[in-house]
Amino acid sequence: MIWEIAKKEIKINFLTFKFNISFILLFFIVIISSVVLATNYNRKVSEYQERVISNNRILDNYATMNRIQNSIKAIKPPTKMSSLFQGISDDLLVNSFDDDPTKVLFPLVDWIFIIGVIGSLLVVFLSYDSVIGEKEKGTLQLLLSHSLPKAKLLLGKLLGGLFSIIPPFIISVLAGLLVILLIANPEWGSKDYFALGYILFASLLFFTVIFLIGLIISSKVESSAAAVFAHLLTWVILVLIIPNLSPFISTILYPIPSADMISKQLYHLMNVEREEVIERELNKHKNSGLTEAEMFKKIGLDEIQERYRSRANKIQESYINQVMAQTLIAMNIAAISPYAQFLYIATDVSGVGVVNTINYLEMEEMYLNRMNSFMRKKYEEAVKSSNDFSIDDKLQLTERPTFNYAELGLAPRIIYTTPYILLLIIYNAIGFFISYKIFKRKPIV
Amino acid sequence: MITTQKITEKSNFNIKIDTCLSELTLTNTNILSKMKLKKQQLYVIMITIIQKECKQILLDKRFLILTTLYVLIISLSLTIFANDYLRRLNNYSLNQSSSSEDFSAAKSPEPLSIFAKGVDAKTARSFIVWPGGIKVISNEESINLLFSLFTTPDVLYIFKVILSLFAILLTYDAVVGEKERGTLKLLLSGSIRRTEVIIGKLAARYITFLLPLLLVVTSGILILQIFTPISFSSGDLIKIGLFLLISGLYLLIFFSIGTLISTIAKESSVSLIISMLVWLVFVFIIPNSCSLIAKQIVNFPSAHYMEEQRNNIFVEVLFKEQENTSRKIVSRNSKLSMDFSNRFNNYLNTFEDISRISFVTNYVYLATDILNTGLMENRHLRDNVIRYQNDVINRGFDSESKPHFIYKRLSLSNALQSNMFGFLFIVLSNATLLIFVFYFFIRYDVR
Repeated sequence: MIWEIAKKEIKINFLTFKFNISFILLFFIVIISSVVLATNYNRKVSEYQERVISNNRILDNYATMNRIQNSIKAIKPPTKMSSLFQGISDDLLVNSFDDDPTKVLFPLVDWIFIIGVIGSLLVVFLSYDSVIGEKEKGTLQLLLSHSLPKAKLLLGKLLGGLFSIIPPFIISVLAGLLVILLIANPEWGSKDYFALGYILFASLLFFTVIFLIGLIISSKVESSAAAVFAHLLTWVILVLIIPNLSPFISTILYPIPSADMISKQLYHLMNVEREEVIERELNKHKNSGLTEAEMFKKIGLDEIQERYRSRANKIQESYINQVMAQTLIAMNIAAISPYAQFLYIATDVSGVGVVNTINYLEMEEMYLNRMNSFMRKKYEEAVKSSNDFSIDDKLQLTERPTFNYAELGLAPRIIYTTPYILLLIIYNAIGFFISYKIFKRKPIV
Repeated sequence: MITTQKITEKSNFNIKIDTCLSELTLTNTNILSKMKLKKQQLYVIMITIIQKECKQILLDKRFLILTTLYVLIISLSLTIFANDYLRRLNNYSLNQSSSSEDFSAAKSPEPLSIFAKGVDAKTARSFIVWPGGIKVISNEESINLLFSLFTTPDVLYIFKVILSLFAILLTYDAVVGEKERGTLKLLLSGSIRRTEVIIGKLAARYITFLLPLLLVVTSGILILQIFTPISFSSGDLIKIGLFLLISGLYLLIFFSIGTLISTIAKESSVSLIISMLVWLVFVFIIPNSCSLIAKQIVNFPSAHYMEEQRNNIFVEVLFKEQENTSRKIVSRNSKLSMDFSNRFNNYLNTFEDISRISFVTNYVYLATDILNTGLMENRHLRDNVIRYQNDVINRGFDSESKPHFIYKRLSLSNALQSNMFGFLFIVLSNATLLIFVFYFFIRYDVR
C-alpha cells in the first residue's frame, strides 16, 4: 500500500508545472556551474605546477642559510574534489596585497550551494502542500476512507516525494559529473567516487529533513498558503540565517585576540625580552676576560634560548587552542541547522573542510620542521668542511625532503563527519515521529 | 423650530444628493473620461484604498511574523557588526601604536561597515612597504575557518536576500489570491479604477513593510550613537540615508515582481513558485556566477602565486648581485606588479561589466560604494598604497624622512558618479516593472 501511494505521488509530481520547471532550472545550473568549475580547476592545477617548478628553481640555485627561510613552502595541490566543492579556499591562509576582493562580495556557485540552497528550496516547493493540498482538494477524505493507516499514508507520501526528487537530481548530478570529467579530468580514484556517493547520500538525508518539516507544517496549518509561508520561513531561518550568524555569535561569546597581536607578542618575547636577558647576563661577566664562547657557556645561553622557545611555543599553542575552541563553538551553534550539517559533511568528506585545512596546516608544520633541520644539517656539514663558509654561501639542497601532500584518508574523514550524519538521521526520525503525531490528530474534513 | 428642522432635513437631503451625484460621476469616469474626476477626489479614493489594504495587511498574521522576524535579525546583525567593527578598530589602534618604525600605510576600519561589511576586511589593513614588496597585516580575526564557509549576514545581506524574499512572500498572492477568494470581482465591480486598485495594493504593502524597517534601522543608529563609542558624522548619516533610499528602491523591484507575477499567474501556488525561482536566479545565481565567468575570460594569478614570485625575486637578486640590490629588487618587482595590476584591473572591469546585467549586483555595488566598503574603495586604496610605495622607493629605504600615508576615503559624489549606470538601472527596472504591472492588471480577466 505504501508503494501505491508513493507511485501515485511520483506520477502527480512529474505532471506538475512547478516540479518540471524546478528541475529544468536545476539541470541547467548544474551544467553551467560544472563547466565553469572544471575550467577553474584546470587553472588551479596549472598554477600549482608552475609554483612548484619556480620554487624548486629557487631552492636548487639560490639557497643560502640566510635568505631561504621564506622560500621553504609546503605547496598544496588543489584538492581533487575542489572541482565540485569549493569549501575553504587555499587563499584564505595567506594575507596578501593581491587577494581577490570579489569573492567576499559574491561567493561562488559550487555544488554545496546548488544542493544546499537551490535543492532544498525545490524540496520546499514539493513538500509544503502534500497534506493540506490534498485536504483542500478533498481527496484526503477519500484516501482515508479506505482502511489505510495514517502512518502508511505519511510514509508513502515521504517516499513518493523522495523518489520523485532522486531521478532528476541524479540525472543533473551525473550530467555535471560528466562535464567535470570531460573538461577537467581530475583523476579520481574509487575513493573519490565513494566520497561523492557518500555526500550525495548525506544530501538525500538533508532533503528528507526539509521534506519532513514540510509534512509537519502541512499537517498542522489550515491552508496551503499558510503552509508555504511557514515552510519558507523555516527554510530561511535554517539555511540563510542560523549558519551565517554562527561564526559571529561565537566571536562575541568567546572573544580571542587577533593572530597579528599574537605574532607581535611573540616577536616582543623573542627579539626584545630574550635579547635583554642575554645582554644583562653577559654584562655581569663583561670584565672577566673570558672568550665569547666561554661566556655563553657560563651564562647558560642554551638554557635561556630553550626557556624562551618553550614560552613562545606555549603562547602559540594556547592561541591555537583558543582558535579551535572558537571554531568549535561556531560549528556547534550552526549544527542546529540541517543545512550546516550537510555542509560539514560535504566539505569535510570532499577534502575542503575545516578538518582538512587543519590537517594541511599540521602537515605543513611537520614539513617545515623537517626541512629546517635538514638545512641546519647541511649547513653544519658545510661549515665543518670549509671554515669560511658563511650564511650567505650557497647550500646544496638537492636531496631535500619533498612535500607530498596526502589528503586525509577516507575513513577518518567519514568518521569525523559521523556525528553530523547521525544528527541528520535523528532529525529524520524526530521529524517523522512529530509529523505522524500531528497528522494522526488532524481532522480530515 | 419647524423651519430649522426642515432646513436641516433639506440640507441633509442635499448632501445625500451630492454624494449620490459624486458617486455617479465616479462610475461615469470609468466609462466616459478621466478628465471629469477632480484631483482631490482621486487622492481621497487612493487613500481609502491604501487604508483598507493597510488595515488588511496589519491584521494579517504573516505580516506580523515577517516584521518581527526581520526586526529581530536586523537588530542582531547591527549588534554583531558594531561589535566586529569595535574589535577591528581596537586591533587597528594597537597595530598603529606598535608599528611606528616601518613604512606603513594603514587604513582604519570603516564605521559604515556595520551596515555593509563589503570588502572592508580587505581594505582596512596595514600595508608595510619593504624592498621585497608589500607586507600585509590584517585587523581581522578570521582564523575561525567557518567565516569562509558562510556569508556575512550584515544589513546589506538582509536587504539583498532576506527582505527581498519577504517582499515576494507579501505580494505573490496580491492579485491572484484575491481572485481565488472571490473578492477581486467585488472590488472591481465598484466604481474604483483598476489603476487605483493596483497602486493601492502595491503602495499599502510597500509602506506597511518599510515603516517598521525604517524605524528599526534609525533606532539602531541612535542606540549605536548613544551607547557605544561609535559615532557617525553627518556625512555618514547622509550616506546611510542614501543607502536606505536605494534599498527601498531595490525592494520595490521585488514588490513589483511579486505583484506582476501575481497578475500573470493563474493560481497563487504557481505565482509563488515562479517568483521564488526569479528571486533565486537574480539574487544568487547571476551575481555568484559572475566572478567565475569573469575568471574564464581574464586569467590572473592567485595571491599565493604572487607572494611566492615576489619572494623568489628577492632571494634571487640578493644571491646574484652584490650592490644596488634593493633597487634591482624594486625594479623587477614593479614589473611584476605592473603586469599583475593590469590583469587584476582587467579582471575587475570584466567582472563588473558582466555583473551589471542584474539589478541585484548593481544594488550591491551602489550600496557598498556609498558606504565606502565597495570595490571602488578597494581600487582607490590599492592606487594609494602603490603611490605610497613609489614614494618610499624614490626617497630610498635608508632615508631618515618617512613619507606619511594620508588616506582620504572616497566621497559620496565619487561613488554616485561612477554608479550612475547602476542607479539608472534600478530606477528603470522599477519603472518598466510598474508599467508591466499596470498593463497586465488593466487587461486582467477577473473571472
